[in-house]
Amino acid sequence: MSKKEETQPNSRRNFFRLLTASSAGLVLSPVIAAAPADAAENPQPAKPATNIKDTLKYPRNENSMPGHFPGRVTQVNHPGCIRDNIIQQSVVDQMLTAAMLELTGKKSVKKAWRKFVSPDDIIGLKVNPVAGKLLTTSHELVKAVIAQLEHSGIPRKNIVIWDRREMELQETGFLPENYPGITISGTEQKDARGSFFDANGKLYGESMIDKEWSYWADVEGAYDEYTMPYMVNGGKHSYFTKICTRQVTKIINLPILKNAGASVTLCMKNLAFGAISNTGRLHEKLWHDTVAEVCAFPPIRDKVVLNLVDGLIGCYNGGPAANPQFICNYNLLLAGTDAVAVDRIGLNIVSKKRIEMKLQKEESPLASQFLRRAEELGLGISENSRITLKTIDLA
Amino acid sequence: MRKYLYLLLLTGLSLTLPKQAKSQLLTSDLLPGLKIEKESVFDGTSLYGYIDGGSTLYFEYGFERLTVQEVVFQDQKINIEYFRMKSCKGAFGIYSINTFQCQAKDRQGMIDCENPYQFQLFAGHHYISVVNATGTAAARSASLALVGKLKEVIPAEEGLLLPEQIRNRAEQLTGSVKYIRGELGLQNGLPDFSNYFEGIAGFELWMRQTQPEGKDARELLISFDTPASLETFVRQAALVPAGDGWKSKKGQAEQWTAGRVGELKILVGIK
Repeated sequence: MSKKEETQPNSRRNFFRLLTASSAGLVLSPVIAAAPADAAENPQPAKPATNIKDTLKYPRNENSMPGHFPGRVTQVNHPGCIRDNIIQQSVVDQMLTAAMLELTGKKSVKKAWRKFVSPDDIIGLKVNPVAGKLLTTSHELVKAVIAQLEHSGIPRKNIVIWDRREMELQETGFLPENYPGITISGTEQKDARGSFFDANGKLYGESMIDKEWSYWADVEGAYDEYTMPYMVNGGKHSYFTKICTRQVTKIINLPILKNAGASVTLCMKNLAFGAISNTGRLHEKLWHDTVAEVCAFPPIRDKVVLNLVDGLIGCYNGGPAANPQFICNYNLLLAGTDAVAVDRIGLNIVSKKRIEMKLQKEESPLASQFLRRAEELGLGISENSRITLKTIDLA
Repeated sequence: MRKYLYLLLLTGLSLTLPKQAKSQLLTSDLLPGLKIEKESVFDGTSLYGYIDGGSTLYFEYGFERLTVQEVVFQDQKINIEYFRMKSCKGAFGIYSINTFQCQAKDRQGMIDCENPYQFQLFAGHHYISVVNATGTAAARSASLALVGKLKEVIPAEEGLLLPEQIRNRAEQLTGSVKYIRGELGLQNGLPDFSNYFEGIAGFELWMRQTQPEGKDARELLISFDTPASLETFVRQAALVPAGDGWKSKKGQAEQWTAGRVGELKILVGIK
């Protein structure tokens, strides 16, 4: 130690040396002597590899994310969209119309929707029922979308409401009697007897996954007998649902404005974890990567034409589950073709609420990791400074 | 130099909280008028089937089993979730990061809190959540009755071992002490610190809030699995040596060094 350092006991360098020499060094001095240089230079545990590079070779098309309006987000606010805890259908219709016209610059609702879909398309509405009745994609928004699609010439038979778990769709009211003429489908399914298995002992979910499309990651999924029906398969492959790869030609994404820890679970999370099997293995080490990378696969990247975030009711803590005390009325909708930009704006809103509620002092730098990764993959714009946000206040 | 770095033994001494009475789940025999409409048990990875990605947080804290009871009591629909964790510390950890906006009660030797929608309880290896969806006075009253009975029936197990440094200063645990030991725990319990732990796998963190409404009146006690992790943290958090008042001290088993990140007081050491 130099003379200069000895006379500056508060310097960080000095402090660092003292830490290793005292608290650590007394116990583990041989390790300290041998290891610190490498450890300091390479503190990160190796991140599991994935097959993302393989998927980037597929050529993009005109619908590929970020779609028609990169870096453009429309936010529609209406303080009266919820009265006495009931979402007002007529107000939601009005909010959706305003969002569509502003986003597309069209003069009519029909022209706005036809910018994204045609009567020949099979259109998947990706909802989010995972938190149960308290915090599902609202039926009012789903019904408003369906009504405007029909108005735009899309037959009901060409509309599919879908998510990973058909049981959760049913539990949250996405039932044939509420949506006559519309297909309701999930990857993981139970039959009328409540069984996940068909007469041959095969999981219904197995017939719903497409083994031609797989997100491979060097993390093994190992599940017990009970869990497997919810994962469909174990191992290192997560297969895409046939709903995405074969059934639908376009996807309209309808997530909810929810937090996930200090981050958010919005457009990309709704798509990524909703479209593949064997997700349990991906949460711990690859959450951010999975959220971005799965969206870079053609069945998602080239089919998602519009994102409408349901921020009528959302949550700022406890998400993605629904804890009643953290559910709040944001009274807004977000719309955009650029899922990354929409998620960035959604993260701003949720972070602001969390700071206001004193859950955190500032946005966590880790919260936006998935956004940066998505931009690296060419899926959209992740920086606020490059996003054009148009806000419409309705009363 | 010793003026700034003075080592302290903390965890050799600890406090044991009161043990709980012998127990089981709530049944209609134990509580007349209680109707159990559905009871489900999730163990191992089956938690994925119940809360999907949300389960990872519980795995991080050492999840063992979850029993969910959907009940009707006093005409109120209520969900009771009994999370059994592998350790008492894991159960307290989950409780401690779930109690935001939950009014501390910590009565009758119990660690619990409540708000209109949810009652939460920590006991032994259990974290228990009692949720109603309406937040009405009637729902609260019914929930309170369930919690009162739960306090009589939850398992008798060892108490929580708290580092002396934490216990000595904490008047009540709910809302003032958190136990964190992984990335998701950080994101949920101490999100503004998450980035300082990037790349660090093995650590335990106790946080004590010294004033309920202080500007940043938190003190942290962090032990790392390896010296390399400690070094990484010091660098990423820009930890500087503590100045006046907040000092390291010398002890016999574990040694802690005092530092600061901004106004925050931190003791760091290696397990």
